[in-house]
Amino acid sequence: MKLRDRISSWLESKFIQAAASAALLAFMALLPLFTDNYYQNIVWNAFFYMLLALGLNIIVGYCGLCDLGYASKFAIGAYTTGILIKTYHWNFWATLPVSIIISIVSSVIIGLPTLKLRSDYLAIVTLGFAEIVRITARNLKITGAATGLIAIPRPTFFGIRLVKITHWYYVFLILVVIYIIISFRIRNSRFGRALAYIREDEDAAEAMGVNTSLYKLYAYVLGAVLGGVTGSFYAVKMTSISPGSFDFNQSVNVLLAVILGGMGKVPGVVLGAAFFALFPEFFRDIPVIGDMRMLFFGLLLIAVIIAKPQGLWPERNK
Amino acid sequence: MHEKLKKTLALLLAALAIASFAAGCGGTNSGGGGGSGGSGDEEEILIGVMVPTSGSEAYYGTDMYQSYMLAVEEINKAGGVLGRKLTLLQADDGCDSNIATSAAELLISKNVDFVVGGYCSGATVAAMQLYFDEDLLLLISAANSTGITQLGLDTCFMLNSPGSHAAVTLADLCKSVGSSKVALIHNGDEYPQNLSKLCEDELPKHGIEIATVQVVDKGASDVSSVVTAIRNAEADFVYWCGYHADGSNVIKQLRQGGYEGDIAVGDGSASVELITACGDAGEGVYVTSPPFVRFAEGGDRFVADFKAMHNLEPGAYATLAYDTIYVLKEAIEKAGTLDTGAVKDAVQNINYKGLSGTIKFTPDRELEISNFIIIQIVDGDFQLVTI
Repeated sequence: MKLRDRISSWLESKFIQAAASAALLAFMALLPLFTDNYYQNIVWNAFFYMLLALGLNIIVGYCGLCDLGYASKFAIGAYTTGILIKTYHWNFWATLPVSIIISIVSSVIIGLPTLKLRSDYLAIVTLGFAEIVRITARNLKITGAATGLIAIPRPTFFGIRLVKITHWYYVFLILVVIYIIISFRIRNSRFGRALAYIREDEDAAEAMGVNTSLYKLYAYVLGAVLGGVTGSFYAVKMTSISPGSFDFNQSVNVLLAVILGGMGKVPGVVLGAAFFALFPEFFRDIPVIGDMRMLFFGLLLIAVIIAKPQGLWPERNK
Repeated sequence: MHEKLKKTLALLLAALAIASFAAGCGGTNSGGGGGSGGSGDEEEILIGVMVPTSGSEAYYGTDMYQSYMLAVEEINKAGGVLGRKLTLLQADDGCDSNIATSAAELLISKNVDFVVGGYCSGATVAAMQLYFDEDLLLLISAANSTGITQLGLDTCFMLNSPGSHAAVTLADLCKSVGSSKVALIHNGDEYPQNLSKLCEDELPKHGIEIATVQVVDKGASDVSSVVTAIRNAEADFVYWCGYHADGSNVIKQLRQGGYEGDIAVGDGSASVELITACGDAGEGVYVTSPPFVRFAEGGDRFVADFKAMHNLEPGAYATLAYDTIYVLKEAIEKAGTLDTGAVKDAVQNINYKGLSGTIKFTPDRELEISNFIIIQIVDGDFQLVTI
């Protein structure tokens, strides 16, 4: 056994993984005690991208579908919650089920006709749908047109009004843990294996009796629901949402985080999102390089993808 | 997906990320007002500056920051405020709501005493609630969507004239050139849409008809359908509500399309870059402009000082930024304390005569007296128009 294999098999042992996860979680939970608002907001931003990346990972990573419009899923959740709270004075927590239902309905409408086709077509349709959502939001009165929805009231949780960044840090940390658990549960289920089968070879999967269209639709809807819920929380954290937050760049960012980290591998996706959100911040205060950090970031991304096309922490084929 | 396709896609996306993110994310800069010297025994007054210094609006944000620096240096040289020096701490809002909240959290975590800045209305709105929750006074120098004051956060003041003032100025201009059918064009962004809506409400009150309202997509190169619509509506005056990059394109194509009536552009396009981008087509175009320093009383001295400090010409929002610091200084001195509540009351009751005009606030914390001026492109340069 080579040293490299020995290290990786050691890293993949259950006990080490559990211990490392627990240590990491404890560290993240204690972090706000010794950092200020600014760093908490940066880490919050990383959490936010993790949630989006984990949602998209089900579509892109697990099922191999190419979705270029993930921003629309998260916009639907954000606007649903925003409108219900702002215009109809709903309680935030009551808007979550509605957000989920609307995510399901919209993704079924988009997914049903297009998922019967091969993935390239889906890329075009999702891209178009994302633009439709954004431009609709920019022109409707109920979505606040270009201004968007502003001054969305903050929710309360067991009597605590969620105002401070520290509150949101913990809310999003809990969400990340929930999303990771959901992701692992899906991956290790019969459904998850069917998705992997579709991703690796759709024809073979169909020949073996996997209802590919249906499973692809499930994956697509599930990804949309996770995106919608993220959007709902985003709306109340930011207290203002506008069409500019849901443009094509946002979809690209999330997809990039998934591809960068390693499609289909949960720790890889989380790492990719964290890298994506945190890297530009690290370089901020370095003179000269600080001003050109995005250039370096882009070059680094290209280097990573040429050197490790499977991502930073890819799934090992078993 | 095939392996090769995946790799190509990934590379493509990475390239896209460079392009898009060259405009993205923020930076911070801290600096006192140049050679502010030793701070003495007293603690300094820390002023947070939230302006875009990256992205498409970086030019304006940098211009504002440089203006703040000039004002702070002058004040510090003259002995500071309440005997204390002023220090600036800058955070980049990138003209983006996500980055703006990061900037706000950064300023809050550095315990700034006051915040000035705000160029893009959307980004400003996103950060306002955070300042309000921390009971921080925010003086907004440039952003002027009426959506800002509608939030009703009583620690935020808008030092620039809101779009409703631009609509009145436009009505005066139309009357003076004898136009009665106005076509409005905007690009669907927050401020242009807001301005267009305000003009739609205001102009009919002055007996001016709205011929048509057209929307141009941001970055669209061909706007011939809009030109045709405007000609069909027989408008004799066109008002562009958006920013100068798209505005110059619209102006050129209007002229190429044979439109011969008057053209005016809103304050988002008030930049010398409009002149170069339009070329010959720009001759005679009116601008409902924020107080351009060149036409301001005492502006020559300001321009000279600004050039001496930064080796650059001040831009369209330099006067407002400069006045912002002086308004803050006067309010702190009146209050005699740094307490937000007391300074807020002093700002509410201020009557300051600055470079940008008289700064006085309505109970809604908007500017009471319009600071809009009308300028016109004549022989490739701006000229003040008095009506």
